[in-house]
Order: sequence, then structure tokens, then C-alpha cells
Amino acid sequence: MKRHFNPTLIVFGVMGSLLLIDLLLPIANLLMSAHWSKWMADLAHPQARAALKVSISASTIAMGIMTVLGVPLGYLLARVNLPAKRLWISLVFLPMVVPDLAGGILLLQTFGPYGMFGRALDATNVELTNNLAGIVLAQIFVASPFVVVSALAAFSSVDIKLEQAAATLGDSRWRIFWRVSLPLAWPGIAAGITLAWIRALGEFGATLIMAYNPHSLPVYMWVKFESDGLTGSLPAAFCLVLLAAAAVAVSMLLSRLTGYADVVTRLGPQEKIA
Amino acid sequence: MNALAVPYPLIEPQRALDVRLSKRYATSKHPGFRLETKFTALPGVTVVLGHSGAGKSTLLRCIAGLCDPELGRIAIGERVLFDSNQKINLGTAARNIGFVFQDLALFPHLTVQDNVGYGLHRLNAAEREHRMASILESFHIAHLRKRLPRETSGGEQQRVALARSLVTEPCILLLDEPLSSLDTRMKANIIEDLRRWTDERRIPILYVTHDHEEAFALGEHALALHQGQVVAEGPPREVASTPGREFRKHASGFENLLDATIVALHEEEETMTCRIAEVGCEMEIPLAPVEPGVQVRLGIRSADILLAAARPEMLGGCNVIGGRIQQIDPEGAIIIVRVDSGVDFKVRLPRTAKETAGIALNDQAWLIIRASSCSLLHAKHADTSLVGTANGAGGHS
Repeated sequence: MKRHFNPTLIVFGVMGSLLLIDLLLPIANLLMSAHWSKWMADLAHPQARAALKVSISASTIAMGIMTVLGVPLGYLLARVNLPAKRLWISLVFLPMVVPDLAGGILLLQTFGPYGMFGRALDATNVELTNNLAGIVLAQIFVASPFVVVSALAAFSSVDIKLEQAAATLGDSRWRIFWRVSLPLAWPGIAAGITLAWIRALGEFGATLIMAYNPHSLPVYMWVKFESDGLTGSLPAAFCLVLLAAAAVAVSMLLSRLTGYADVVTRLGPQEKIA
Repeated sequence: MNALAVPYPLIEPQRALDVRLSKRYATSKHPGFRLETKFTALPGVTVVLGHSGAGKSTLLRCIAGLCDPELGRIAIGERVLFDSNQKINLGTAARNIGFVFQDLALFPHLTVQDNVGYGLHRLNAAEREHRMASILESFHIAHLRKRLPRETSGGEQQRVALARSLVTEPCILLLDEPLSSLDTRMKANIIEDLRRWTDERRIPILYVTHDHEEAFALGEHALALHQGQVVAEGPPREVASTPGREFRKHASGFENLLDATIVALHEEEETMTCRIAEVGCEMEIPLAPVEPGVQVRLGIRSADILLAAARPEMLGGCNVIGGRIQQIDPEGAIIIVRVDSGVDFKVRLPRTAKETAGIALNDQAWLIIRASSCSLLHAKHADTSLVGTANGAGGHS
């Protein structure tokens, strides 16, 4: 027996639907006003394909770097009694709330040709602006919280007794990490990595400042918007929305399909309350 | 002392666990207790009794290296695991101990086989397989190899956890209330398997529990912890009835314990006859999968015994044991009668029974015990000797 007509739930449902309209209406509109054949032709344009290639390769590199560096940080924050732990965690969250443009300006000030690192790097002929490296840097700045926070949450959800049991069986922390902690936390981390990847792919503000050239897909979209208006930028927007939807779906699947996901991330309901 | 406990000769002190430690710990109710213990556990089972918050788990965690005492020394024979004076503190992985957690902590992503083989990765494949097959067989879980822990029952999970911690041949085994969620019958079976395995290997086993029945069933030696202090040490039934402590009023288990030898099995009646040396009589008890000649320990609740002032006749299915009334203690609406028939029996009767049965001090009386009221707590096979009492190094208060 299910009871759906609880007044509280109805009110909440109405409020939630209003929010969803704001999210869904633009997407529905995009799909309805689609000129499929023209869009495909536009996206096949060499400039568009180059931008897509830049975006895909930069975001994949960024994803690799964020995973290798972010997962250990998440483990540290979850398992070690660091001094000022809350401070570190809020620092990790910071890029999520800092405006992208501001992040780009900070990055440029540091890594740009006249920045404090940039100048030193310039002397060795290494440039971090207006190339793939610049795009990757901007993407990491913006997207890394997804990896670190999901790793932090996933490692925290692993019962510490499992790690202790592994220690009593003779394993070092290094081995325990690979044999127990990571396998159990992996679905949650992988979901976070997927979200980080799509966030990196769509990164615009910081990238615009750090690396206007070569155009990444979002920058290309903006350039087209400036020159050709709405119609010119729609194909790129469509492409990005499509990729984002796919990434979200993969992220959801990762935390559901994995055999022991229920140990790590519980999406299921849900005791009956009233 | 019970007749079963053939005092184990004081051999193998090199395998004994020596603990002396001091550690501050907190419970949910009290912010600060101090665990102050000093004891020696010889090979065999040492039961650590105590209520929640008594420091039992903290003690085990200190021995395992999962938390550090502030002061003290922990050693297995000559091997020092922790010494605050010499600044020795071995990591958990280097201590070579077996630890079974209260919630078992089986790896949920690994099959039973991989759980049990977890600690064996340094061995070559053939040796690993040999050891694993042997222990899976001993704990009757060989058929579960390919299953995940969540696909097995509670009792099976307990067996997997025990097998996993024993397969690495640890120097000591620490059990943190591992059987508390099981029913008595399953408990007894698992304890039996555990005994068979450890009897061959002779390692100290610390068994933490708050359950007196478990303590009696395992019981060779016991420690009682109370607010971080060892308050009693000795055979379990003495420890459990330590006067003046909280333990007595919680002793809900079997007040009467008898050591007996199985004489004959009667398959049809589903009973067996056992001889109680101390009383010099025979008793009928429920049939169990044991052989004649096996030594057993029986537990009988004091409320399950009836008392008669004259020898009852024409009784079916009951044991009748003669004795003399030594003591009658009124406790509210009931009386506790102590009857000496070679061993002391405690009998719990309604207060009115004193008049209706005509019970008086120093009178002859007959105990009437139904066969089904006799619980087999544990059996000891004739070929394996019992662990003696560890002559613990003090700690009484």
C-alpha cells in the first residue's frame, strides 16, 4: 500500500516542478527549434571540429591529472586527522563558488607571462597561456573539487573497520588502499570524476582569460555568438548539452551498476516515515 | 576448580600473552575512564567479561595496535609488541595477530575465498590454496567459496571471519563479541569448530563477551573488567559470581555447572547418559552429537530444578539426585536453596515451597531435574587436553 496524497509531499512536488521547468524549458526549446541538418553541417566545419578536439583532449588530460592528484587528497582528508582539516576542506570547495572569470584572472596573474611563476617559466621557454596547457590549468582549477569532494565522501563511507581488519591481516596502508579502500570507494569516485570531466569540458570563464587561443568548444561557441548571434552558437550549445547529459547519465550509472555500489553510495529509499 | 580442567602444565610460556597497560578511554556515558590492566593469558581461551564501557574493546584494540596505550608493555613470549619504556610500538600489520570484530568486517567486495585468502598474498599459489582449502574445510564453509559475504547467512559469516583471521596462523586471537548475534545452538557449533582448530595450534585466545553463558561454555579462564580494572580472575563461574560486584545480579545464565562424562547414547529416546564424578551418579540429558567417553560441561538453571523432601517415585524422564540442604536464602518472593550433593546445587523456588514441601535446613532433600533442562555447554574430546588455568599475574582488587 502506498500513500501518494500526503499534502506536504504535494506542496513540495509543486515547488520542485517549478524549479524543473526553469531547467527543462530551455532544453526542450533547444530540441524543438533544432535544425538538425544545418547543425550537423555547422559542427562539421573545420573550426568547430578543431574546437571540439581541443576541448576533448584538454578535458581528458585535466581529468587524468585531477584523478591522480585529487583522489589521494580526498583520502587524506577522509582518513587523516590533519590540523585545520575544516579549513582544507573549505579551500577545496572554494573553486566551486568563485566566479570562473575571477579564477581565470587569478590564474593569469600567477601563471601568465608577467606572473610570478610565469616569469620564471618564461625564462625556460615554457608557456602556460594561450595553449593547451593553459586550458588544462583553467579546467583543473574549476573542476577539481568534484574529484576531491567525491573521493572524500567515498573514502569516508568505507567502514574504517575494514581497513583495520586488513591491517590485522598483515597489510601495509599502501596495500590496504589498493585492496580495500579504493575498490570500495571507486564507484563514488568514478561518478565524481565523470562530473569533473564534463565540468572541465564546458569550462568557459577561466579558459577565456588563460587561453583564448586555441579555441575550446565553449570559447568557440562564444566567438560564434559574438559574430553570428544566436543561430551561430546553437550547434555548439547543443553539442555541449548533449555531452553533459551523457556524462550525468554515466555518473549515475557508475554509482548504481557497480556490483557493490550499495555498500558505498546508497541511493535507495528509505524507511517509511509516516 | 572444576574436574575438567586438567591443569595444563606450565609449558609454552613463550607463547603466552603478557599485558600490562594503562590507557585513558571514554565511553558514551563517561568522558574518562582509565584502563589499568595487568594479566597473562596462556595458550587457550581466556574470557574477558564485562559490561559495555568496561574497557574490553579498548583492551583488544591496544593489543592489536589499533590504538596506543599511554604506558605499559605488551608482549607475546619474548616478542615485544609495545613497550612505552623502550619506545617500541609495532604496527598492527607487523604484530601477527588475529582479530575478529564484533560486526565481523568482512570485505564486501571480495568472495568468501578472497576474504579468507586475504592475508596469504605473500605465499605462492599452491601453498595459499592448500592452507585455504584446509581452513575452509575445518570451518565447514568450503561450499561458499565463490559467494560474496552478503550472500551468506549470519552464522556462515562468523565462520568466514574466524577462518580469515586464523588462516594466517596468528600468535594470538582476539575476539570482540563475535558470536553475540547468534542463537545458542549455532554459537555452540562454531565454538566447537574454533576449539578443534585452536587446540592443535595452542595460541592464547582473548574472548570478549558480556554474555555469561558464552563465558561458561568456553570457560577455562576468565577476567572480569569493570571500569577499566581487572576485578576478578579465575575460572569463569567464580569470576562471574564475584561478590560485591555488579556481575552477580546480571548472571542470568546457568547457575549450576556440572562436569560429566558421557556413558551411553540412547538414540531412540533422544537422550544420553552421563556420569557426574563429583556427585557419583548418572544423569539423563538430551542427545547431542558426541561420543561416549567425551567430557562435557552441563548447565542447569536454578529455576529449572524442583526440590522434594521425600524421595520421589514413579517419575518419568527426570533425574533425581539426593543431597542435604545447606542454606536457604529468601530473596523477595522466592528462596534460593543451596543443596550439597557432592557439588553445590542452587535451586530457586517460590517462597511458599518452604512450607508446602517442608524444606528445612540440614534436611535430606531430592533434586528433580528434567533431562531437557540440562544444557550441554561444551564438549571436550578425550584425545585433546584442556587448557589449564592461566596463573595470571595478579590484578585483583
